[in-house]
Amino acid sequence: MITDQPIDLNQWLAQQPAPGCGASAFFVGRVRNHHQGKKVTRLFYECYVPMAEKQITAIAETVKQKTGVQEIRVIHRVGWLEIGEAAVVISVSSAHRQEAFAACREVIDRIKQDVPIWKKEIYQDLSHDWVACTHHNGKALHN
Amino acid sequence: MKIKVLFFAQLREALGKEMLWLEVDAFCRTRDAADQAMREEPLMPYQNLPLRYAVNHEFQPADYVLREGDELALLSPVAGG
Repeated sequence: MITDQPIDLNQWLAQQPAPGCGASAFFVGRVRNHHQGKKVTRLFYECYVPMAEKQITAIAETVKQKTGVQEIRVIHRVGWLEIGEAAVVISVSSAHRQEAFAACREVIDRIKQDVPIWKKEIYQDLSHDWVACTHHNGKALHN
Repeated sequence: MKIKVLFFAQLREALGKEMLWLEVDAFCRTRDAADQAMREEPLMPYQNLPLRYAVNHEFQPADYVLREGDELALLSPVAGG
């Protein structure tokens, strides 16, 4: 679920869920060209891979149990990414759409909070910054 | 006892390496080991950076008791997704 290769979105859309699933919801997170008023030219994702994989698996299990959805798949790309490229893809499949939407949202929210992946943005003026994801439904960032 | 300490992102860049071995007291807690590791001179500018701790790939609190050979990761604020 961690890759350093471009993500094939067509392949993700084409995946067949189990036959009991009438709904699939997808989230694609892409590299944006701006952050807090600054122009971003590219970015670098760093990852603590063994822990990230464990955390993503745990998040998927937790959300499945909580929402009742049948399938959750996640892929996160790391390394250097250009503007517009997909950094993370989540697909959720379930019997009905309500829980698919809810689960999809919860998975990305939890990934942003608890997966050891860091993002370095490179700006137009060639400066750079390790970005902290500070916005999490009002939850504190650290213990 | 010896533990392995891992650094990422700005800490790794400042230190110039991803990992160091740390000699700590037996029954050392995560926060104490982290404080000791963060005393490395290149990490001085980051003393107020909020850190979470992971031991052997699991989040652990500041008072978790470490064992010989544990892998302690100092996790600065994450930004995945």
